[in-house]
Amino acid sequence: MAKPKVAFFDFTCCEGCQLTVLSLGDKLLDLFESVEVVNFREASSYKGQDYDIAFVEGSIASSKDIERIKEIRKRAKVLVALGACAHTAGVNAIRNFHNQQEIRKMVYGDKAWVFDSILAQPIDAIVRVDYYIPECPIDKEEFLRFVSQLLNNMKPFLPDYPVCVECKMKGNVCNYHKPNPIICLGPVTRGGCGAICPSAGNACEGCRGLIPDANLEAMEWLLNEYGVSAEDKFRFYRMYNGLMGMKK
Amino acid sequence: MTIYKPEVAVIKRVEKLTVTESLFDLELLSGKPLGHRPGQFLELSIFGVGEAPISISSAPSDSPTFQLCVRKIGNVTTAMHARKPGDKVGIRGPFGNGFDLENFKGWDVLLIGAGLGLAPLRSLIWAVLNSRQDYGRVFIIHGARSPQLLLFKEELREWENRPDVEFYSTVDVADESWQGHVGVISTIIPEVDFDPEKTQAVIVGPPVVYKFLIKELKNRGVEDDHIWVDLERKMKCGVGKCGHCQINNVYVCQDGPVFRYDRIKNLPEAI
Amino acid sequence: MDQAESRRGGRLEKYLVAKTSFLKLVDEQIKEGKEVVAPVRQENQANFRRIKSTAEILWGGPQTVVSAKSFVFPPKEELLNYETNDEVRVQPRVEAKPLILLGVHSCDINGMALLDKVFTEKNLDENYVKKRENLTVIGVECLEPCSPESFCYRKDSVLPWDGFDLFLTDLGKNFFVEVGSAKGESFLSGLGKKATQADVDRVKKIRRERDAKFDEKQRKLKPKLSDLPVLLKENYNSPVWAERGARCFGCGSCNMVCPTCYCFDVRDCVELDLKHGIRARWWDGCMLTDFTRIATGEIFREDRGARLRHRTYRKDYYLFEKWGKSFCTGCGRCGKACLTKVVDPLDIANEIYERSRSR
Repeated sequence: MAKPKVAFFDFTCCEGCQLTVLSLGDKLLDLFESVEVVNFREASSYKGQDYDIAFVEGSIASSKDIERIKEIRKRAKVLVALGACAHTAGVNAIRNFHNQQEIRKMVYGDKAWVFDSILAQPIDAIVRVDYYIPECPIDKEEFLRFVSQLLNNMKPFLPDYPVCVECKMKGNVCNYHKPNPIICLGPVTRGGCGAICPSAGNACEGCRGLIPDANLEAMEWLLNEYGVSAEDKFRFYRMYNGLMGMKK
Repeated sequence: MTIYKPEVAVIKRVEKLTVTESLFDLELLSGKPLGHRPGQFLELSIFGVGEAPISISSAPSDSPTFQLCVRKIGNVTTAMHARKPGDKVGIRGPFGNGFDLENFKGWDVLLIGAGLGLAPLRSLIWAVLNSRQDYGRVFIIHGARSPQLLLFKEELREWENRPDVEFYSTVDVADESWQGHVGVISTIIPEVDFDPEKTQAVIVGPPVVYKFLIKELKNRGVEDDHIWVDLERKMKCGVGKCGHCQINNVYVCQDGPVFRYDRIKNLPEAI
Repeated sequence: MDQAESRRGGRLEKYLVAKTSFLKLVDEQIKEGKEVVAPVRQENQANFRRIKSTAEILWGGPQTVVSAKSFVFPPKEELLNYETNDEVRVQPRVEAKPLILLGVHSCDINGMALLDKVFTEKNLDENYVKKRENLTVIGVECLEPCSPESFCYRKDSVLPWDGFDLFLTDLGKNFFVEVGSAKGESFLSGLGKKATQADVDRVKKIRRERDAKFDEKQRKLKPKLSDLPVLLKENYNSPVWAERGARCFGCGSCNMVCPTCYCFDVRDCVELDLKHGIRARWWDGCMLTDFTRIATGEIFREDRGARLRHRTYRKDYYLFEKWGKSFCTGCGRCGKACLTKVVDPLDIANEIYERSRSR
């Protein structure tokens, strides 16, 4: 079997997900053994336009992006949204909730007219996405497992259980039970990260997106129970999930 | 050896039945016969992909060959469809209770296979036909969504032509090639000429059909303790540990998948 | 301990051992390289950790975040590995090494005693059994309620009824040590002296006082413990399930922390070469949405309330009826872990009891 050709593309993002792939170490060599990488800006200047699998990082944030992602979709047999920006529009979507004129001025100053920025959108707002690898940035192990399973003609495994499952497996003291409780989105956020943030004493901010049947009414009850203000709730959800419920 | 270690089996032959279903002839590497009952199932392993419960489609026999009819639907079954004769897979089982033929001997038997339900039912059908003299009248009823999706077409023809089998078939949606009954499988029951008092009825099909078929059988006067069902649930271990297949307090992989209807009709999660 | 004695068909050997000598014995074992795990302080709670010295042990602390089951049934456990070149090579994997589990509370000892039943019933689960055989369980008696959530006294689980090698009761300078197995006896290696009738009487008195204290301080179970299976059975369609289900995250936390939840998922992990891989099991939970989902997408227990009912029924009806013991040992972990306060089995039983009486 010929090696599948793989390309990486970045849209509006920090490119941290591609850097995560680059930092796979020995496993990166195994990856290059299994697939032919034809386009990977962080690793090589070669730009092949013939590929089977496109890993797309970043949000759609300009009208040029829209044309470009459509072109990638046409060429790719399989399109994978890589990381939170591609999956949920991630932190880029925070700006959607502000006055666009003011935001553009704040970012670009008097050169704002040069940039055709639009509201930030996830990749699947524009084109069909076959698979998602969530998280900000992506998890190395999950990426490798994803590639192995895709090469093995499988529908890659993406847990539908929340972060709490792995947090409990790790034996963490629940964020809500600490002497100074930490407001945490673990109960409604998709697991698979190994509860990396709660394990390090931080809140889960929801970077892997919501689980398919997240009980947001229960979350509302919980946040009220801990006296979280309406403003803080919005801020919290908007960190990564501002566009939840706005997807097709 | 642990209960989770599969035995290696070799694929001997593959026959495409429909667009999504294929029949696989398999033999254990050890050459031993499987030693199963009709209605039992296996955990089929494709190493690197996973395990899936698959019911055994061939009749019990002393031959080392056994058959699995596999629908391409999840990861394991898709991988199975990519396998060729000579390829090796893993097998654990046979698991579950299966049908006890002693319960049917001397009775008329009404064997209903809806859709892919014909795959496990086929094992029972051949077990009955292989000792035909032990049973009264034998009815076989098969329904599929369309004529293209009928399974085991040659065998259906053979059963239809046997003088000692009363055969009925139906499709939900017909095409120009179809001359027979049209309608979901429960609509054919009123047309079947059987004596409810002398009959043991067996239903094998997808979860949605049981309620309707049981209702039709009861309308005809079949008693609850003369109705047998073969239920499908999510399974991981096959050995009564992992918990996925539970219907209320019953483990389908241990206490089933075959149940006499009167014994589960009060389990709200069953039908 | 009467139950443990009758289960073994005889009196358990009892010793009086100076605490200092007992702890010295354990510390020596640690120095010899033996692995000893015990509850230690973790932030404002407790958890099991491998200890380097008995000085680290948190005696009489709250229930550990995760129960002792993780040492016999770990969150992730490899079942086999394989290589698929021209030949298929499958190697079952049973990992087990000697481990001393010290300071285990009765709720967890009884939890393991219940797991012993399900993992050895019919198809013996070697992965569990081998770990269990390698485990030395040294329990410790709780003389104060460990937390506001626990209700072990209501579940007949304040003392172990099986499943321990040694059981310690704090008598100030000494441990009163009850021996549950030959392994326990040999661990003790002749330490201390046989307990006298006066020692036994003293412990009986302590236990009577403890019972009174627990009875007063722990939340009440309104129905009789032995009535729970029937009570639940009769309230299958109670509105309690839907009401509590509406506020349930379906997050599975209650399953994960429970000493008797033993459901698991099985998945393969394959290397990039697609030739080498492992099959492993992970803790799974009946409260999670995809627990009953099959390849066609159908979910057999989709409603959160129905899942909550199933979990409760497993503890206090299905398995209770089958084994004659409640599969809830009253450790209180699920009630604590449940952020929206819906899962606590004692709360549920009381609510159903009250509502069925007022009907």
